[in-house]
Amino acid sequence: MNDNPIYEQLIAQKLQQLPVPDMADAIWARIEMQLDNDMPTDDTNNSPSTPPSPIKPLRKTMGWLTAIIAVIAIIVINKQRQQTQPAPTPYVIEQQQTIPSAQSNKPDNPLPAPVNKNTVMPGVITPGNVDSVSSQQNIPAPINTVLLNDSVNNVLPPVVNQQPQLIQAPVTIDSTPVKKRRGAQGITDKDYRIVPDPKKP
Amino acid sequence: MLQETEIDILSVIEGCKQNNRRSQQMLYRHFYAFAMSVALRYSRDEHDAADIMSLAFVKLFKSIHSYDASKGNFYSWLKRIVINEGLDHIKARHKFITDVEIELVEEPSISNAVIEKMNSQDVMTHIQKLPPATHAVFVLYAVEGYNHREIAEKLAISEGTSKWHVSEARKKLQQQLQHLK
Repeated sequence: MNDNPIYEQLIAQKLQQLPVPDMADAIWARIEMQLDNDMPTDDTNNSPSTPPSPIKPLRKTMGWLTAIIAVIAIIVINKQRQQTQPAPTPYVIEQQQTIPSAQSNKPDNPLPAPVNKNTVMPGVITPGNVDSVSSQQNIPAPINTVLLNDSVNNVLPPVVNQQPQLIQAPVTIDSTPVKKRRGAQGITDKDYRIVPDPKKP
Repeated sequence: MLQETEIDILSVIEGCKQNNRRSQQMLYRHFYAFAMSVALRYSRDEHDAADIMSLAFVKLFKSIHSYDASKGNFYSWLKRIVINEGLDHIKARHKFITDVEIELVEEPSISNAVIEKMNSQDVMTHIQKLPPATHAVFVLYAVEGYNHREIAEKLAISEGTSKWHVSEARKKLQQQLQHLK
């Protein structure tokens, strides 16, 4: 025991005489509830008198039904979306007209529609846009040729290279080794023929 | 008579060990006043004490199988559980200063006559006005009779801190009771 001053001993005495509030029932109710949760007794655990609640299986089936309905709804919505979605609009590629000649410069034959510099144009290539390769070969530009026309911009959306995908044929590797040609190439048996010189007697 | 009561308590404890709800309720009601008076010393009000009580008794019933009557009195076992629960209750809400060193403990003087005149509820009200950690240390030291080393171990603080709390409690009580002279 500590050597406390007298006033502290008096305090201790007073605290041991504290009136106890009448809360026994309320506190027991809390204790009992906690004990029922943590340490259920045999009486509360196995009560054969209480019939199994019909709500439980009903809830289970309801849960399953809800899940099935939800899945069906998702599938239907997805299908509807696919149907309502507009088909991917193919890029309209305006055929570029041939180089406008003086005769063709009539009011009923207007100028070719403005074309984006990146637009893919089939047909003839305008003089200003001809690249070296196409001009030499003098063949119509391939469909994905990019025409550089600065005067017209943003008329048509840029076209991504839409070349069809080439399906590569399966490569079969010949197992037999390639035979190496012998001797100098380009020399035939004719070259070895001995022909008598007509000048010689 | 006393022996009879002891025997009865032991049989009730046996019932509690078998998780018999009726035995548990009997034990609780038998020790309610004693346990509540302990719980009140570590609480701010009655509701706090009720919290401490319910938690302490649930703990007691959960660990009653470890109670060995030959090793000690049931009262002291129950008291220890309630005090520990009370301290946990305070620790959960307030942080204890763990390390304070004081060189000289001042000894403020409080008139004995003032304390004698007061009733127990008034004394408790003054103690409840102390900071929670100081309140707990003061009750452990002055009322329960623990020494500073034991308090330090119980609360995981240094002995110096325990001394400091007792000193603080004395100072604050003196300030509160000065006007009552």
